Amino acid sequence: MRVTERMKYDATENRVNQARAMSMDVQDQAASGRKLRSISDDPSGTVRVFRNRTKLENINQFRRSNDYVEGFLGKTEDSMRGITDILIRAKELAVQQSNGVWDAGSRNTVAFEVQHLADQIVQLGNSTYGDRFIFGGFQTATPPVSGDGHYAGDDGLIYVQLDEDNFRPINIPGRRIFEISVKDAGPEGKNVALLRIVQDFRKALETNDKEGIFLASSRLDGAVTQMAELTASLGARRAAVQDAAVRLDNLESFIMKDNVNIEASDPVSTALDMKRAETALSYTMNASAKVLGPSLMDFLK
Amino acid sequence: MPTGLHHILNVGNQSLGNSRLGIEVTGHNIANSQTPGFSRQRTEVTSNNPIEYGNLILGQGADVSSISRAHDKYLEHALRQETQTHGRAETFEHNMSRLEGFFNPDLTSTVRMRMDSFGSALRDFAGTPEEPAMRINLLESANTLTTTLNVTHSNVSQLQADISEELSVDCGVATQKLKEIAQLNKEILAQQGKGSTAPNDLEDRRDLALKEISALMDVQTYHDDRGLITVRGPGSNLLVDGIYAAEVSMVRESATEQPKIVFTDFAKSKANDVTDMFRKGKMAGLLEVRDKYAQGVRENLNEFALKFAQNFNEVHAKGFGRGEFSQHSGRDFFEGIDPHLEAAQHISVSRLIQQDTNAISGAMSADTPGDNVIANELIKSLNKPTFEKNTSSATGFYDNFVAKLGTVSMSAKSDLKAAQIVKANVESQKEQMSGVSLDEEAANMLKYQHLFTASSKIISTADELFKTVMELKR
Repeated sequence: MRVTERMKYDATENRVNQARAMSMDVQDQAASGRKLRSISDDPSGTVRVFRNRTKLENINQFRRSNDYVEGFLGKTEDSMRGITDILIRAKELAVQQSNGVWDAGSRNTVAFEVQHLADQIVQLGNSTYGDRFIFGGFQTATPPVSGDGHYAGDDGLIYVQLDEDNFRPINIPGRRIFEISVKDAGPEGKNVALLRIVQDFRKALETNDKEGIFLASSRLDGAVTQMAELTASLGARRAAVQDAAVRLDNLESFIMKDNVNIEASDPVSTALDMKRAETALSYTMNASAKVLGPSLMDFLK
Repeated sequence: MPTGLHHILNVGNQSLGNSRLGIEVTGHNIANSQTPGFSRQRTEVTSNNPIEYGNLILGQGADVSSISRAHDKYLEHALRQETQTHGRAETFEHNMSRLEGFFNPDLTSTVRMRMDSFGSALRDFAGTPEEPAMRINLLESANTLTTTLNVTHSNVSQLQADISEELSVDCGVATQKLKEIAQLNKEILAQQGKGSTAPNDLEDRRDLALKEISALMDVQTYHDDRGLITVRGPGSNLLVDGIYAAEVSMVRESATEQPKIVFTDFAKSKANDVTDMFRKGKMAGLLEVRDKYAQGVRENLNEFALKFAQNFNEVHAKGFGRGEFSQHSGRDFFEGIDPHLEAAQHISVSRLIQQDTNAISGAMSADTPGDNVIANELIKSLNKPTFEKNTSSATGFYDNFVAKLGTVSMSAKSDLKAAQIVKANVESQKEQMSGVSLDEEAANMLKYQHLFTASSKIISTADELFKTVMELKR
């Protein structure tokens, strides 16, 4: 084999360049801590990283939603429990007052308490979470329960996404609370405003109408049952939200691990690669210095 | 009387000349030991025809019959081929990695990431549509998304423009080199007309020019019996014919189309559009990135922007807004998405929404501030498979074309490595054949120096003989 001048220099240049490029690449990897630096490093891995990042972003979002929904449901539950407690108190009073031993005077005093209870129901019915009226359906900006017990909201169910493909209603439209279906239908049809039952009870107390008080006690009983059922369904919803939150945490750590596997460089192997590249570079330099050494020319006198 | 002392003097003289020529050629070789494309030269020494001297056959010394170059046509051809392949691979790899760089996974400002944030903002909005802050947040992240689409589009089209710029420079270089080849053809013809031996250095220079043009485009060469070279380029178009060269230039026919490459033939009568005919060389690599991959990405981005926005608008138009917008539906969220224009370049959030975020419509019916039915449908629409014959969602489509881009870029990298190795191999073979070795030249120098000394000894010996003969007379 003839070894010519340009061959020596070109080969040296190539070799040193290659060793330098390798060394640069490893150093870049070590400095950035990433082995996935461009799509072409691992195209299918890149897509997986993209999808995982979307999932992570979504998980963060779902977690925010979950916190909000839990607060919303908690507030709803508290308000409903408050209403239930009031109804139970009213029912106790009705049972008590339907007894013949009470006279008009004491019934009047009780009527005063019942009026107070009615006010409290209106107040709880207009509970807010943030700036939202929770019992108004979609009418979240205006108080859903007027002073006379009329329900001004609508039947809108607010769905919130808790997980991929998992939309859940978070609210209970007030109609289901503030309009009670009763067997002895009045002039308005089957549904009677909850507040009217309480107000009727107060009127019966004021007028010392024993029959009216008795009717109120049975209607209040129905209302308490209805509230208990609704509150129970709320508990199930809260459990579902908490469940989703746990799932999100598990999923998150799994996805993060997956991304680290694809994206991050392993520090130990990077350090070894760096050492290797460094050694290769210095050997190449040494060898090149020998190759570019003297020719026959230098020995001719 | 052909022989005698004069004859000896003559033989010595010629030998002296031969060795001087040998040293001269050696010097020329050493001087060019680092010249690209140079082939080492040798003196071809042949012994002169002998004469009859009585019944003896007497030698007549030696003469330099020619100076030849160490050259292998096959290697030269192989090198040209590999230079073409390498030229394409190198440029292709370089520009593909620029193109994929716009979508790199370590960037946080890509369309993909903006889509994720947009989805997040949309969910926040759907959670509490009454909240003005959520609406503003949604508007801002939609603005970021559309701006990122605009920027990515302009990055890609800027890359195409840069490539065109580079191509136009290459056209100039190619024209220059073709002229040079034609000029060298002319000079070679002239030298041969003078009856001299092969014009080695001119041929070397012509080979080098051919190699340089090979780096730019696919060429085939044909030698004729006068030693001239005919060059055919992409699509077998005639580039150099004898002493005539074609011109390579770039024309832009319309503002919306990429500029084309044309060959103008010698008579300047006809310009051939050859844009699609390049297969090898740097220009082929540039054209492939510009017209196939960058253009493909650009079209993908447009499709992405168009369908995503259309799909989103369709759902959004069903919704009612807040405040003064709570009575009416039918508003678009995105605008600037004309299917006849480039959607990714023009897309923006509608002016109405920019002015008043209450125009963002998430409600199913009028006057329902807490209604998020349409907002939830908008969330679902993000994952709706409306792309690739209704098989993938917007982000799925994006992932697919980015992955394709990455795969092409990946194989471009390995192609380049292979091309580099093969080219370096052929180059080193050619160097082995044609390159200058200083060791060898040193030995040659020594050889000719000794020959020179010996030849002059013959002359001085002949001179002494003359003197002896002259002294006989005294």
